[in-house]
Amino acid sequence: MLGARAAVAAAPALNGAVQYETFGYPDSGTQGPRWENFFAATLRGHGQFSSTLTWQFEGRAVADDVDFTAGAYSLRNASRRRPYLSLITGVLDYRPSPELRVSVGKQIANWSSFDEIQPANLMTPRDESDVFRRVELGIPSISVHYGSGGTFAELVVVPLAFNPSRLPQGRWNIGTTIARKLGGSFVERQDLPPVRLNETQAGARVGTHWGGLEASVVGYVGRDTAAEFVPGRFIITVVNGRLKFTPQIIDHFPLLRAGGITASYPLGERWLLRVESVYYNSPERDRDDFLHSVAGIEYALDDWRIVASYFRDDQTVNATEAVTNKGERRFFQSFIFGEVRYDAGRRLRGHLRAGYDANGEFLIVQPEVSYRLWRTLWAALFGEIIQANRSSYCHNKTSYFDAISHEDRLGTRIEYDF
Amino acid sequence: MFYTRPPIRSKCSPSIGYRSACTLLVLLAGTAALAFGRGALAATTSVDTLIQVLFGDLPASDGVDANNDGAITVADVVLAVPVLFEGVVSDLVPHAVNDQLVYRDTDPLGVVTTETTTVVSSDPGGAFVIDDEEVDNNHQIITHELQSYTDSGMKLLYDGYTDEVNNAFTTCSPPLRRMVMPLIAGQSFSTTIDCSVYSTLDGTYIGDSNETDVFTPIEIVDSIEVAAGTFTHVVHINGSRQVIGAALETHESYFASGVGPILDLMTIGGQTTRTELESGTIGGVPVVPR
Repeated sequence: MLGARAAVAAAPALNGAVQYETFGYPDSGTQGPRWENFFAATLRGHGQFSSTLTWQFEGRAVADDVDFTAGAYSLRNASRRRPYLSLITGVLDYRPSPELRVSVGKQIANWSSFDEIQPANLMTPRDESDVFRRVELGIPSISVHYGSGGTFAELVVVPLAFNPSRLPQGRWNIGTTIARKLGGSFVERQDLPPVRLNETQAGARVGTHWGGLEASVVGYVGRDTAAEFVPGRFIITVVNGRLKFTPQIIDHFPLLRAGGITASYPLGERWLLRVESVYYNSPERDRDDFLHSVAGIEYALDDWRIVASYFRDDQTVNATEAVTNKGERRFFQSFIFGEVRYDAGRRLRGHLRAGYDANGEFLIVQPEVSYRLWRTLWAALFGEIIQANRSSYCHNKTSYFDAISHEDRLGTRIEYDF
Repeated sequence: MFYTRPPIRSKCSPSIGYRSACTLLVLLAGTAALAFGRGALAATTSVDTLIQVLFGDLPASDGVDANNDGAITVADVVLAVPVLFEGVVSDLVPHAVNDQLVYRDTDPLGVVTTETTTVVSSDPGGAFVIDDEEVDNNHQIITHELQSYTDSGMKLLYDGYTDEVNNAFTTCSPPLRRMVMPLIAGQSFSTTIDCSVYSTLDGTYIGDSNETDVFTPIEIVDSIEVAAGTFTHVVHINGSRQVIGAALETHESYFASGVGPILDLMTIGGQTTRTELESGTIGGVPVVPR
């Protein structure tokens, strides 16, 4: 039946991009005088089987020479290293009426309206193998979206299996940081929950438009896609007649119950206000309760876009058990971040992103300038500069940025869109 | 070394094994031996017989008149209790500031290292700290620990240690009983402890482990020969350490009164490491075998 309808449907549309990056570390105090290479190819497609049944997908192939990639494919993001091939999304959308959409397959469910720090992204994991090139990963799920008038509602269910975010690798690996402090080896293990009924996750969003205001309430029950790090039992061996203790660090994804609000409101034609606030609660003894809030203002003028935001973490309930590290979810405590972007639709475009933790612990600056060489062939020069002012952090202790107190990566990228 | 690192600390040492912690206990036993050794040992074998005699099941027999007063009385029973050491902890294991003992460690492969223990602090409340450093023949540091103890007079408690090489500190609850006075042959004392390991750099929680340590005073040994010479009337204490998830670690430790541990034979999985006293200074006076 699907095949018959496809015969009369519109032809599928395909597009994508191929990019190659090479970057180095001018400061010998960080990674040393070496170059790293990264390749990525993305293919997207969409089409329709009928007027009510459509499909879309996004696939990605990557390769690098820093051992961040291994294996052809990874189910549930179970592998510590990213695979060469990934299906980012692959969804069938069924629209029986203009108000209702049912989607089945691997899809993105991200309700945040912010670019980087996203409290309202409660379900969609990321591949953070390279922390500066985070990629959202779709989750195998069933979603129902209903919208009528100014009101909309969405329910997303991820049955049986939890899909974690892939953690940073290499010198950003939290385990490496801890092991370096201890001067010894360690074992890191991912605590991936089993596939079973009570690992089903569910999230819902209900919202409305009132004039220019868009506001919604979000909620989620499941696990946090961002890991915290807890100590495992020491691995004990006998070496030369003595017991040798090797620390074990567990990447643990705590149970999570979260709820909050998102809102955006335009002021005239040039200004846009956005705010999100989400409360995170967990029944687990090693997880704090905390409130994440972020507010931002965006200004658009001709070819320029300027965004300034402020994020803060407010801990409300202390965990009763200690962890080795609270993970990326708790890394930023009082963070000012923003972006200036220029894109006139001509040959030159660029942006400058920056963030500063108001505790004085962390600064990141990411400049990039691109030039269109031919049609959709772009060459870019970019940098990532980090200054971590303390060897450890007062609120979150060790972080993966602790391993690189100073980072100054510079690189070039060639990208072709088709 | 005899102050050897406690089990606790081992757990935190990510890449370095540690010798077991029986040393202090052993020392205590040794002291007792010097004070009461021969008499206690003599009586030990006659306890059952004495009781039998006193209660009339058996006729009087030779060798049970422990106090040599010509009569079998309750006093003979009391004396028959095999006390190896009756003094306080510091009698068996001195720990004044700057007391230092140097050991020769020989691992199962025959590799020799030098371990130096130095008391670096002590307070009136009984707490003291021992700096325990082990170096190889090239003077490269293999292990370096600051071990914390508390001497309550009749008990020696091990509280935890700081691993200077691996930047970790370990605390245990409850404190590990390393020695309980008086030392009585065959009377074991054990402690099950839960130890947590943290980074000294920023307090990062590294992990924890559970273990049970058992110490059993065994006997008074007439003489023991170690690198520093031959010591007489030495207290022998057996120790075992069972860390959950690890092979059993056993110790045969020997203590000389007024000196401390002079020999420790640690065995794990059939492999034995020998740690023997090479030299030392107690109270500013060089250690001399006696």
